Amino acid sequence: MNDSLRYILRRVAEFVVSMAALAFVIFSLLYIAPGDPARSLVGTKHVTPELLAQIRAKYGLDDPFFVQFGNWISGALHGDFGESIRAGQPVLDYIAPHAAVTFQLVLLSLVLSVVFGVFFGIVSAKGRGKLRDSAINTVALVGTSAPSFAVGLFFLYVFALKCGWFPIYGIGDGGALDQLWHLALPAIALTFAVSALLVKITRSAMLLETEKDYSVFLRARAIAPLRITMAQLKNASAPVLTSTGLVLANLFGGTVLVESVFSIPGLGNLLASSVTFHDVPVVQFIALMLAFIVCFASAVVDIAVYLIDPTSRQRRRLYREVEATG
Amino acid sequence: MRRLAAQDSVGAASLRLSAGQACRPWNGMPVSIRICTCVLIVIAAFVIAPGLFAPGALEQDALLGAVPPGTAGHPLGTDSLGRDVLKLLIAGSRSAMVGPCVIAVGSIVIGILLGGIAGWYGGAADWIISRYADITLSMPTLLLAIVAAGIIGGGYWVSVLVMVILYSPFDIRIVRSAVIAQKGKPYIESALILRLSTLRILARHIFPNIALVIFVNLFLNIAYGLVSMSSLSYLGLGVAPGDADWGRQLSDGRSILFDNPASALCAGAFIVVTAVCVNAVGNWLTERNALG
Amino acid sequence: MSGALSLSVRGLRVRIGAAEILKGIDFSLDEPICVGVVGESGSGKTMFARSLMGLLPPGAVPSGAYEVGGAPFALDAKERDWRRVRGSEIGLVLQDPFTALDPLTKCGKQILLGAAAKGAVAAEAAVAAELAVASGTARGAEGNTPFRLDEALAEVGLPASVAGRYPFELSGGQRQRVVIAASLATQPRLLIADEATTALDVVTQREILDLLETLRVGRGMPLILITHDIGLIRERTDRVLVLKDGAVVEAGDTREVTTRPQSEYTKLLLEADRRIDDAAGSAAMGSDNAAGGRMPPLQDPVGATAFGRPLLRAEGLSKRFGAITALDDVSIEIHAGECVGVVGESGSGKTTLARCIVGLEQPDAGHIAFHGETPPQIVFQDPYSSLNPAHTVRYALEEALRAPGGGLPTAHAPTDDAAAGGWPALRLSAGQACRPPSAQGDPASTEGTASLRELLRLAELPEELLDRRPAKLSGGQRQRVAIARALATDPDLIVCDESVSALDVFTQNQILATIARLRRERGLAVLFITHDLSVVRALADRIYVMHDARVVEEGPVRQIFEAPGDPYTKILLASMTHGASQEPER
Repeated sequence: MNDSLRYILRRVAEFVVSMAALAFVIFSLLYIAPGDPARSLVGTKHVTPELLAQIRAKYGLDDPFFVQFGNWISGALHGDFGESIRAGQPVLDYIAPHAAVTFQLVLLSLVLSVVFGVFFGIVSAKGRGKLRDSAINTVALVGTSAPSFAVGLFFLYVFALKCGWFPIYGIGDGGALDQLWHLALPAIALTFAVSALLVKITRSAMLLETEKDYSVFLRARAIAPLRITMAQLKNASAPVLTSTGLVLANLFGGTVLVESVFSIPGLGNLLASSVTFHDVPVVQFIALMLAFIVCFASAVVDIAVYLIDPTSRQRRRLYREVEATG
Repeated sequence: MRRLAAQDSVGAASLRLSAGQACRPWNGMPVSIRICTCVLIVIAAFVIAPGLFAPGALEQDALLGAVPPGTAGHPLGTDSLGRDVLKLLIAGSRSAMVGPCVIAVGSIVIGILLGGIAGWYGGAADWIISRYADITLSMPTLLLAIVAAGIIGGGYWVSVLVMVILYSPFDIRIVRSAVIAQKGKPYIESALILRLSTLRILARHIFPNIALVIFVNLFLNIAYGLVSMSSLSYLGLGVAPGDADWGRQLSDGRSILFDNPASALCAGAFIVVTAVCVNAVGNWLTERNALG
Repeated sequence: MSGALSLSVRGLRVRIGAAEILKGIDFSLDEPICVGVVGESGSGKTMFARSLMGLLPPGAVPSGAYEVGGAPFALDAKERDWRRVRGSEIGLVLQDPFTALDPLTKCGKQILLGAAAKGAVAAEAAVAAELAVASGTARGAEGNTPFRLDEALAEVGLPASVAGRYPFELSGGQRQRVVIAASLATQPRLLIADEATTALDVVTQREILDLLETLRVGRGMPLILITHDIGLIRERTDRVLVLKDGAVVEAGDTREVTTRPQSEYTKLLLEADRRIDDAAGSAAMGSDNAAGGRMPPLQDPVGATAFGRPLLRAEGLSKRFGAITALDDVSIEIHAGECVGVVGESGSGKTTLARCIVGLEQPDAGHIAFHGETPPQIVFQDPYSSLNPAHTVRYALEEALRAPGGGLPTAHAPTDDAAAGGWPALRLSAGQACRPPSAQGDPASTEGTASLRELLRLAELPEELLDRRPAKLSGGQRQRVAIARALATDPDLIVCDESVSALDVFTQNQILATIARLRRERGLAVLFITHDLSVVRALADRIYVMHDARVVEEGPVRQIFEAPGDPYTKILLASMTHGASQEPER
C-alpha cells in the first residue's frame, strides 16, 4: 500500500507540474501575442490615449509579466477568470452554455469510441489474418489518416445534404432529444476519426496477450473462448486505458474542427472565433480548462492502470531481479 | 577525428544498405503499397513543380463564380472566386506537404539529439528530458497549436515551428527507448570494453541499428503532420486567405457546398488519400522491419 | 473416464512457410508409462508437443494421421474441435511457471476454470466458488459438485490458502504446482510436460519431477516428458524419442537407447552428459571415458602456485541492485595463464561478478587489482547479440584492432593505476577518446592485415567469412568472431560468460577445444562463468562455486568434483548427475 500511495502522490505531483507548465505556456503565449489588449478591449471605438491608459491600469496591463501571471493564477484559483472582451460578461457565465454542448458531444463520442474501438480491436485480433481483420485494419487506417473535419464534411454532405437523414447544422432548439439528434452526426464523425487509434492499440495489445504462455495454457485446458478473451482483455487493459486518455485529448482537439463543420455553438467554435477576435480571457480559460481535463484524465488513467494490476509492485521488483542476474 | 572520417566509407556503406533495404524491394511490395507509392510520387511531383501541372491556379474569374464539376474547361468546377478547383488542388500540394515534411524532419532531429542523450547517458539528463517529454505529451497537441498559431499570428512557419515542438516528445521517447534497448546489447558492451570512444559507439554501433526505426517514424510523422497542418489551415490559421492549400480550400468550399461540392470534398479527399498512402507505406515498412 | 489414453500419430509433419519444422514423426502411446522426447533447442520437440494439442503458432501447418482414444482426429482441425481433445483428453504443463498463469487472476479461480470447462463444476458453482475464493474461504464449490479445490491443491502438495493468492505471490515451484493442478482439473487422460522443470532450481526440479511421477502412477495417466536433458530422460522415462532437426534420430526403450545408442547424435548427447558423471567420480556409467576422448581429459589438480604471477585479485566485492544482493563479499584470484571456472545457478551472482571484472559494473564495495597490460575482454553468452548486426566481420575485427591497446603486443607498461584499484573505469557519462594509434601506424597497412589474418587463425575462422554480416553466420561462427574480437587487444585475461551454453553440444566441444588451444598457445588466462559443470570440468584448473551471491566453495577442479566440502556443492553435483547418483524408483 505504501508503494501505491507513493505512486499516486508522484502522479498527482506530475499532474500539478504539468498544469503549472501549461498555465504558464498559455499565459505567456497570450502575453507575447501581438496587438494591444487594451485596444482590443475597447473594440473599434475611437478613444483618447488617456482612456487607454486608464483601461491599462484597470486591467493591470502595465504590471510586470510575473505580477500579471500571479494575478491571473490567483484569480483563477478563486474562480475568477476575468471578463470576456467580446461579450463583456464574466468568462464563466459566457462560456457555460457552450461548454455544455461540447461536453455532450465529447462524452457521446468518447463512449462510442471506446465501445467501437475496443470491440473492433478484439474482433480484428481474434480473426488475425482473416478478411474481417484486414477490412477493420483498412477502415482504421483511413480513420487514423483522416482529419476529423474532412470526415465531418463527407458525412455532412452524404448523410445530411444528400440523404437528409440528419440535420445539417446547429444543435436544434427542441429539447434534449432533438439536441442529441443534432449531435449524432458530428459525434459519429469524431468517433470515426478518433477510435481508429483504439482499434489499433486494442488489436496489438490483444495479439500480444494471445501469444503469451497463459493464453496457450488457457486454450490447452479447453476454457471457453469468451472467458479467454475476457482474461486477455483484462491483461491488455493498460495500453487500452492509456490510449483512451489519448483519445480524450484528440477528441477535444477534434471537436474544435467538427463544431466548425457542423456550425455547433460549442467551445471549439468559440475558441476558434475568440482566437481570431483576440478575446484573451476567453481563450485563456478555454485552453486552460481543456488542458486541465486532458491532463486530469491522463493522471486518472495512469493511476487506474497502476491499481488494476496487483503485480505492479512485484513486477518492478522482478525487473530489478532480472537486471541483477543479467 | 580524422581517423573517424577515414573510416566513414565502411560505416556509410552499412548505413546505405539499411536505408536501401527500406526502399529497395519494389518486387516484395503488395499491390496496395505499390499504388500508394505511386500516389505519393505524383503528389511529390505536384509539390516540386506546381506551376508545371497547374499553371495559373490562382487566377480568378469573378464573373463565373462557383460552377459545378463538368463545366467546360473546369473538370471539377470552380470555387466562389471562379478559380479552377483541380488546379487549386494541385497548387495546394506544396503548402499541404512541405510543412509536414519539415515538421517530421525537425522533430526527429530534436528526437535524435535529446532522445539519444537521455537514452545513452541516463541519470539526471534522462530525468529532465523524460519529464519534459512526459509533460509535453500530456498536452492536447492540436489545441495548443490552435491557440499558439492563432494568437501569435505569424503564419505558416510559426505553425510549423509550434508543431515541431509539440511533435518532438514522441520522437524523443522513441529514440530514447531504441537507444536504451541497444545500450544493453552485448555488442555495445563489447565496444565499451574495447574502450571505443562514445562518439564512435553512438555513430557507428547504435545509429545504424536504430536508423530504420527513425526512418519509419519519420514517415508516420509526415502523415500526422499533414492532418494537423491541414486542421490549422482549415481554421484559417497558418495560411493567408486566398492561398492554395487543401485545408483552406475545404473550409472555403464548405460555404459553396450546394453550388460546387467538389471543391470541399475533393480537398478532403486529397488530404485523406495522401495521409492514407503515407500511413500505409509507413505501416508496411514497420511490419517488414518487425519481420526482418 | 479415467484410464490411459491411447494416442498415435504417423508421419507428423509441420511446416511454416517453406521450412519444414517436423519431418515425419511416428509416435504412439497406449499405457500409463513415461515417454521422453529429447532434443536440443530447435529440434522441434516443443512443436511436436504443441501439434498433438492443436496449439501450433499461427502459420504452422501440420499434416499426418492422428488418432486420439482410438478415433481419427484431423491435425488441422478448427479451434472449436480441438477443445474436445484439450483438457479432457490431454493436459499440458508449460516450461515457464512465471508466465503460464494469468497474472491478474487468483490461483484458485484459475484452477476452477478448468474444472468448469470440464463440467465437473457447474458454471454457477464455479462463480460461487470464485466468490468464496475472493472472500478468502479458499474452498471449492461446496456440496454436491465432485470437484473440490482444496483437494486439487492437496493433490499437488499445496496448502488450501494458495487458492486466494495471485501467481506473483508464489515461488516458481509453487506456481508450477498450481499449473499442474490446473491441468489436472480438466481430468486429462494423458499429460504432456514441456520442459516443465527447466526454469526451476535444481531442488525444486526434483520435487516437481517426483510429483509428476506420483500423479502418473496414481492416476494411471501416461506422461510425455519433453526435455533437452538426457540425464533426466535416463532417470525418469521408460521410452525415449531422440529428435534432431525435426526428425527422429533414435527411438526405443530408454535403457536400451542410453546404454547402447545407435546414432552418433545420441552418443554425443550421452557423452556430454557423461562428462559430469565422470567428474562426480561415479563408477555407474563407467568412468574410463570409453565413449570419447573427444573432450580434453580431466585437468590435473594444479596448485595455484604452478601458474605465473597473480593476474587479477578481487577482494570483498559486494554489489546490490535495489533489494537484490548480487554479490556479497566475493573474493577471487586469477593467475596468469590459469583457467578459473565460476559455477552457480542463475541468480547466484556469477554474471555480476563477470561484469564487475570487465568494468561493466562498479562494485559497491571491495576492489579489483589487475596486473595485466590490457584490460580483460569478454565473450558473452548469446551469439545472436554479441555481434553488431550492422557490421561485417572485417569491420568488427579491424575496429577492435584499432581500439586502444589493440593490434600488436603493446609497449606500454602495466600501470600502477590498475594495481591500485582497476584501470580507468568504463564511463558512460563522459566521452572517452580513442587513443591515437601513433605507435602502430596506419591501421590499413599490411601490418594491420597481418594481424587480421592472425586473429582469424587464432579463432579458427575461414577468411571467406570476413565480409559477411552476423546474420549470415552460424551461432558457432559468431562466437568465434566474438573470441577473435576479444583477442584483438592481446589481453592477458578473457572472461567467458556462459559463452558456449547457447550452442549445441557439437559446437560447444569445438569452441571449448579452441579456447583450450588458445590457452596453450598464448598463455591466456580464462575466467569461465557457467552453470554447466561439464564445461568447467573440461576446461578449468580451479573452480569457485557461487550460491546466493556468495562463494561457497573454492578449490582445484578435481577436489571440488571428487570431494565437495560444501553442502550446496554436493546438491549441485548430485542434481547434475541423475543416472549415477540415484536409480529411478520403478
